[in-house]
This record gives sequence, structure tokens and C-alpha cells, in this order.
Amino acid sequence: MPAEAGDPDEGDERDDAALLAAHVAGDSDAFGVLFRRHRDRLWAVALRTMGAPESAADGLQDGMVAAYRRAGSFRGDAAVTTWLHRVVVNACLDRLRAQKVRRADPLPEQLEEYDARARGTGGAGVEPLASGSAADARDPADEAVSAERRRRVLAALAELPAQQRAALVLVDMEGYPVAEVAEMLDCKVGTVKSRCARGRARLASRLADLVGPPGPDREPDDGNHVGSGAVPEGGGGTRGPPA
Amino acid sequence: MASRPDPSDPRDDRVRRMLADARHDQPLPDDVAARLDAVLERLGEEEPDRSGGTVTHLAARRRAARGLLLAAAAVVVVGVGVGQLVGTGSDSGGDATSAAAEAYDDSAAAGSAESADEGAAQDDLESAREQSSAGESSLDASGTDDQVAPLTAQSEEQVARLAQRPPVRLTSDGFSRQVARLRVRPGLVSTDDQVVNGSDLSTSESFTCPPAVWGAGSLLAARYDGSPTVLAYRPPSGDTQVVDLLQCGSGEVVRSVVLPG
Repeated sequence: MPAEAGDPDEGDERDDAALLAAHVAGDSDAFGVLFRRHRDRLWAVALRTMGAPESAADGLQDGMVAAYRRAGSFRGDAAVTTWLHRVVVNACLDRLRAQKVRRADPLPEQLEEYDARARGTGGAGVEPLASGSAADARDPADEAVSAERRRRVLAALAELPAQQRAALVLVDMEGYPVAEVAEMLDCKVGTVKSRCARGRARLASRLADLVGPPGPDREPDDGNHVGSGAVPEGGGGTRGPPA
Repeated sequence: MASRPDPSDPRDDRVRRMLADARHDQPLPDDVAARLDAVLERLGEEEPDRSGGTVTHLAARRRAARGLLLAAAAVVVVGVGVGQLVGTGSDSGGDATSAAAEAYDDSAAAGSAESADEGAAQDDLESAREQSSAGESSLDASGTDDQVAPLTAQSEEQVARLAQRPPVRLTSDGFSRQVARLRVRPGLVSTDDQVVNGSDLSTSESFTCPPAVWGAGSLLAARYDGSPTVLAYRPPSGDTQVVDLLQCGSGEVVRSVVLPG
């Protein structure tokens, strides 16, 4: 697992396992270095799993605290990043279950609003919503169509059962191999595949006008390119979208 | 039963591409990053014990002699409960024992979900006996800091061990029986105004429960129909004992039951 060793912002070239071991041994800075190394991607997973940014921040914080305190339980039989994802995803799923008891699901508009705010404030490294390096050169009309499609995809995703959503976020959005996602979700590979397949089938039904009818493959109606981050479901596939 | 999705459906690939395109590719927002950094800083100020069985809030408990005395008293109550169960065996004459025996007999209602906890049951009983013994000696010594110190160390060790257990599983349809059956399990003893991190009740990675004031009693990490909760056995009052199921994070009562004392 390639740790982002040598990150100039951190200046710490220890790999993930070494950082976690140092944390357990009492190094007060090690966990912070480790978490900051991966928190952007963990945030992406938490955000897409939870839907609402506020809930995602809570879930990510829960996961971070759990990982900090339970670092000693890490046995090294999986990559540290896999373990971190597992802890964070579990924290998010726990929060979703609790939310289910207390209130309705967050509105996808909240997410769009938050994304727009991030785009507007635009600190260093904050990029426009549209993916790909050519996003800046897009026609505004195309961008609007793309943003609307994305909004609908996220809205449909938010309606899926949490377990299906988590599987799709990790496999189809983040591009993790199914085998690794099975470790993250603490279930069998077949279960991950099943959740993904059922989730995609539901999405296809709810986004029928975007996805098109069953039949020979074709691009969606608007003709816009969509990302190529989909990953083969075999256990050994490479990651899709880069961190 | 729903039909299985067709893996050869070309819409499947289209959906996957749309999902990939909807991936969130922006960094962690500055406000969230600052919040997480602040939490990390606070964590760093806590007692450094990351062995996996950490119960960090015990540091505060250690400083509260009054809390310790209450804890000792509650531990004795748990110990007496265990003693009754062990001592009476199949005797089901009393109300309390009857409820427990009924619960134990109701293995179908408890379901296989409880089987994961079975391995820890013997440890729990032994732990409860140890706690009971410690509590009695503490009470005999009647109360200075020096005298309760051994209990403090022993309690921390025991509670850390208890936290290694997975959360107990409860269901809405078998709640009362399950609660009666679980009464013999020792939990983390909490006082009225103490803030306890629910996640510290079980080191299970899948159990996350934000801090709250749970009130006085013996606390167990629990999953209620899959949701993380805290089960609080209140100190017995007269012939009854109230057991509250509490919402993680808020401490609100989700459900409550009164057991015979």
C-alpha cells in the first residue's frame, strides 16, 4: 500500500504502519501525521456515505477518535488504510442507524450547497465540482448539465440502504478493489458484489432517463463524458480515481 | 424475494461511470480540518494508553473518591446479583431469579446473535466475583483514599477487560427478556453527572458511540435492532430495578423496563 511518504507538508517519511506503531508506543505526533495523510480520502468516503457534510464531519470525527484509541487492536493483517477506512465507515454507518431513529435523511441539496460553498471560498487545493483536469475549459452549459446529473446521482444514492451505499461509494466512487472493500466492511467478497449489484440496479431504475434503456452500451443522453474510474470487480484491480 | 440483478445489463456499467463521475475529489474543508485537529490535540492530552483496551475517562474517575465509593457500592450490588444466580442454580422461586432463568431458557428468543457473547460469559462471571470481592473489602475499609486505591487499580483493569467484549445485542421484540438475562453482566459503573464516552464501553471497531451523561448505574455497550446504544442498569430501588436503553450521543431514553429487584 503506497503511503504518501515524503509529503512535504508533513516532512515525515515513515510509512503508515510505522506511524501507527509509533502512536501505540507513545509518539504524540504520529497519529496526526498518519490521519492527515489520508483524511482527504476518508472525508470523501464519509461525505458520500453520509450525504450531509455536517453528519460526514461527525462520522469522520467518530472514526478518527475510535482509530486513535483502538490503534493497539490493529493486528497488521490488513493495510493501515484499509483499517482506517473500516473504522471510519463503521462510524458513519453507526451514525446513519442512529439518524434513522431520530430524523429523516439529509437532503441532497445540502450537499450541493456545501460543495458550492467550498467552490466559492476556494482555498488552496479546492477545485471545482467537475472532475478532470479539463473541467476549467468546459462550456458553462455543459457544466450545468453535468452538475445537475451529479446532483441527481447523489440524490438517488442517498435513497439507497446504507450498506449498499457504502459499498458503491467504496467500489465505484473511490475505486477500491472489491476484496479490500470486503475487509473494510467486514463481510465477504460476494456480499460486497451483491450489495453493489443491487445498488446499481436501483440507481438504474431511478435514473432511467440518464442511464438509458437496457441494450447496447451507449453514452448518456447529454453526451457528456463520464469518469473512467469504474474498477473491475476482481479482487486485484487497481485503484480508480487517485487520492 | 427480489430478483437478482443481471450482471450483463449494460446499464450497470453506465451507473458505475456516473458514480465515478460523482466522486468527491475536493480536500477536507478547512473548518472540518481545524475541528479534527482540535480533537486530536485534546486526545493527545489524555492519558496515553492505546493498547486497544483504553478507557481514558477512568483518569477522571480516579480523581473522584466519591464516585469510587458509589462505584464500589454498585459493584457489590452486581456481585450480589451474581451470587444469587450462582448460588441458587436452578432455583426459580424468586421473582428476580425467575426472570433470569426464564431469559436463559429463552435461547430461541435470544437468538444466535447472542452466541458471540457466550465465550465471554464465564469471564464476566469471574470478573464479577472479583469485583464483588474487591467491593466488599473496600466497604469494610470504609473509605479513605488509601484504602480505596487498590479497588481503583483493580477496577480499571477489569473495566478495560470488560471493554474488550463486543456490544450485547438487543431486539425490540425480546427486549425485556434480554435485559433480564443480561443483568448478571458487570458493566462500567457510572455516576449521576459523569460524562462517559460510549465508545469506551466496547473496543469493538464497529461500535461507535459519542460521549454523554448516562446517569448512575452499570453501563453496557449494546446494539438495539442494529443501532448503537447504551444499556444502563440503574441502582436497585426497593424491590425493583430500572433499566434504561439510552441513545448514543444524547443519552436520551429510547426504552425502559422495570425488573423485579
